[in-house]
Amino acid sequence: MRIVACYKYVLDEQDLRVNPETKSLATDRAAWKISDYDRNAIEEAIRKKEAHEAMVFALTAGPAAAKASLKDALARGSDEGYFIQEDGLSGADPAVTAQVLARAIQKIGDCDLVLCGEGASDDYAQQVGPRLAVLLGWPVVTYVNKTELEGQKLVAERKLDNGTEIVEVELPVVVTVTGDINQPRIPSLKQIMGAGKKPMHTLALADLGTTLDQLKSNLVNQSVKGAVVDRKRQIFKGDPVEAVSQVVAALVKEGTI
Amino acid sequence: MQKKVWVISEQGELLAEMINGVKLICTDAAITAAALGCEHAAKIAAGVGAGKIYYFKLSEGSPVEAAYIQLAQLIKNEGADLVLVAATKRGKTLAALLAAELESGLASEAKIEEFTDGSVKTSRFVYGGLAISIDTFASAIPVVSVPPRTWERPVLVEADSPAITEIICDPGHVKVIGQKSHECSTVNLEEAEAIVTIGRGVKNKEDVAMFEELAGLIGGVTACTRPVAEEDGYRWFPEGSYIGISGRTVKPKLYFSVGSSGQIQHLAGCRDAKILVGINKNEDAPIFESSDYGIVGDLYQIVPELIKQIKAAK
Amino acid sequence: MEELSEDKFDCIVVGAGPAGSTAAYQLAKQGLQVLLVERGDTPGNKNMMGGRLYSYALHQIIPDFWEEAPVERRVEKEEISFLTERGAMTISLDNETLGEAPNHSYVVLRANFDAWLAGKAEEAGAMLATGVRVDDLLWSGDRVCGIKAGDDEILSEVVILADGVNSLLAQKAGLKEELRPDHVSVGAKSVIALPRQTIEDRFSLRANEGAAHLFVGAGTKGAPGGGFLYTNKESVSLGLVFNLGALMKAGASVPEAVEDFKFHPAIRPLFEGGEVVEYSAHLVPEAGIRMKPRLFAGGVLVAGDAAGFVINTGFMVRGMDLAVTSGVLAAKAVIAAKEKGNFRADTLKIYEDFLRQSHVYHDLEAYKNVPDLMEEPDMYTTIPSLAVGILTDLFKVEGNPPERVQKMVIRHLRQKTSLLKLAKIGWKGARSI
Repeated sequence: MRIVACYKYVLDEQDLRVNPETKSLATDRAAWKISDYDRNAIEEAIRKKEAHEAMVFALTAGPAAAKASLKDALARGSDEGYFIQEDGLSGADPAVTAQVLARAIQKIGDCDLVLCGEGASDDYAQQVGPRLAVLLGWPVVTYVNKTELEGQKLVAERKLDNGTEIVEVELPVVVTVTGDINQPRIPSLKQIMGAGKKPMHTLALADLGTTLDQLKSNLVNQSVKGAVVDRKRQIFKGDPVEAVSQVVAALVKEGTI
Repeated sequence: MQKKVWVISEQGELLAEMINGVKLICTDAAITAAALGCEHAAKIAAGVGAGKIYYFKLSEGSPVEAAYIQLAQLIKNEGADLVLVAATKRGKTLAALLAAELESGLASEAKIEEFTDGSVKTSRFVYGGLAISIDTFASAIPVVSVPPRTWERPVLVEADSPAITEIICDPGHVKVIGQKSHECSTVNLEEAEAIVTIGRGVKNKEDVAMFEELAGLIGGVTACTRPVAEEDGYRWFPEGSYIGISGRTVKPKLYFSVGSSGQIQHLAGCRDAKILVGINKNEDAPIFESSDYGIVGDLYQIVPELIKQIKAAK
Repeated sequence: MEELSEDKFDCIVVGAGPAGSTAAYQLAKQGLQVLLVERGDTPGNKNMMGGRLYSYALHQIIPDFWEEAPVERRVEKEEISFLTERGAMTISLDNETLGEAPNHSYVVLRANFDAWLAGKAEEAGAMLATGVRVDDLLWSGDRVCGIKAGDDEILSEVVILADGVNSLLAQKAGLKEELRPDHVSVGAKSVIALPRQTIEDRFSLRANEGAAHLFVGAGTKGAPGGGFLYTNKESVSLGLVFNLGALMKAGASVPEAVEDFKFHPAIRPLFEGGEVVEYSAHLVPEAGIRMKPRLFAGGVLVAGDAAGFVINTGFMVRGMDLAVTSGVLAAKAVIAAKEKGNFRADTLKIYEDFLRQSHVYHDLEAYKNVPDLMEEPDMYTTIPSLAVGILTDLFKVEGNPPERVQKMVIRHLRQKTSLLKLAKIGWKGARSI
């Protein structure tokens, strides 16, 4: 069985800062990481590999900086890493990302299962999984927090707004996973050391038979600005009784109590 | 010129909200509603003011999302200036499938900022709620998924006219073989006037009673952050009932955050609270940046004191 | 002897800071199989300093490294201030020659710089594993033969411990005692973002030029230590260093002291309008040669801060250059041992010989009495008080009959100290630096 785990290399949103006056977003101090739910997707792929004998291809598309992520993806247990390098993919419309990943998956060839996180921790558009399915001509199951493979059949539980839906579908299929499907492993030293020796393929869009201009995007970003809520920020420390009385007095004054 | 707007959902209340919303953002719109898998929802759409209604009848074991192919065909045939899909999890999936099939752009969980001749502008939260992204569309059919309660829910009325067109939905490849319900939260957090939210800093499930007392005093309800609903060692609240960007969004008049550090993802769910009071033992906790009033200290000392003093003030 | 397995390295270096990465770089360049293991997710993100790198040491192995490395400003302005509660007496030196290669110095930010240096080691052929904490050493009799991280055991001929001031592994190897509070300081720092032009205007700097400013006195509330400010390209690094032992005795809180320091009238305007983008704290070795552990045993060497290789004379703080040199010499010792065919203690002793012949030991020896001077309470109270007091009276004009300068100075001396005490400090100072 051949499994592709797609992941996005993103800026850690905890490191981002918003300038309160200009509302611009400062990204210069942010570290990069594999998007949270994509880590779950990679972990799920590895667990399937361990249970069913499969090859796992870790796949990501992005600007040059994303190359550094391959080692991490491989250290988690993937067999090979695929990196589609294109600076223009930074901040791309999910429709574009899906088109690139679909072509890459077709190039990897003969795949049975594609796993992604339910959404990326930066954009959280939650579109790539379903879009991939339409492009590949496969079905898709989203918000999955449990999977079982029975031969060529996948049984999955979808965690939806007011209950769990249990579905069954024949491979090949695209699956998007939630954060509580599993606990991603922390790679051991030996796994990290081994990662460097595994095959890492870097491809350009041309290798996938396309160019950035040819990839259709219909969502045009105008701006990304910090969302700042003005708050009074009156903070009280010290003696709890005193602090509480100040706050209660203020709330009474506001008419909230 | 009259605009053609589609509203799509598997839930009647959400169709009603969107129909209401379209009327607010567009003075002259022809609204077509697509109710997926629920005839009752189709009748509500009719009752609340859709001009044309489709009811997609799902076959046994067919998930709601299976409707996307036929929906796309319908939309292509009839044309659309804007397609709105209620952003439940099924809705978000459907919206992405639909957008892919239509080769359109999709703004997920977005607000409509502008809807004029030839342009749709949306805003949505990114980076866990830290920033707002403004987008426009270059495709002929803009698709937007809209969070529940973006617009007010009108009074729900069912009607039999306009006539509902029934469409038999092809089943697709995914088969639903079972359902499990969650322990549902009966609390309506979205309508609550006051909320006391419990974070990881609270040590024992038994302590929740104290917060319920506080909530009662301020005329509100208790809620929690994601770890308290979903993580091992906690799970004191029903799943999916937490406040945050991937959970519930609330807009009470008064919001107490107790024992939560104030991660962006939590704050995104309560940013519309009129007054936010933060309580945390660490003075550097981010919650204080987003609080109107804050108390640094041990919540086990502060909350009983709060209860005492609020009782006295009343 | 163990069978040579695929996973047996010539050398494992623990810690990808300046000492570790330099050692790994040197060894890899010579074709040895090196594993460089770092606890942080990226090299440098667990490290912090004021601070500056004196270039001469790294220049010898990576010539003109400043042209490709992520360095901040090149220091051409040196300042020392004596602080009283509200006053500051500052000595300022502005000299372009301070910036002449290769004996200049650069302000650096460790998260960026250390990552680059570890990258150089990787380019040279070292295998870099990050996000891994080494839990223990492996022993074969009385010789170290590898490391243990989690459940993984990796073998090597020799291990270089470059794992920082509180090296638990050096303790486990029996080379080092538990860290004494009076041997270390706590450094706490804020990085405050300011526009490039503002920094250049405020500190009178030319483009790419930087300032290094040390503060003695009120900032540490009379405890041994000092404040510092270094100008980065688009931020300033502002902080305090406290001797840990004295801090514990005084029951003082570092965060409070840092805040008070920042709000001193002489300090506050320096970061006005800036935004704090980072807080960090770190231990700093203070006792120099007095805290030098045993540096080698069978199959193991100790380098960098783990060996206490830091010199702080009050007007000069050096750690990274000593770390780099010790890394170079540790690599040299490993190569010599490999040629000899064994890594026994008596063979690895050559590391200490190399250090003895190098500036590392010369400098540590030369400054070995500085800690005594640094511990003089008068340094932080009387001296600043005298400096500020005397100069204030020198510059003040009150419309009274003038006091003769000599008389004024003696008045201050009598009020605040005694000639004898001053002489004692002077004597200590002269002996130590």
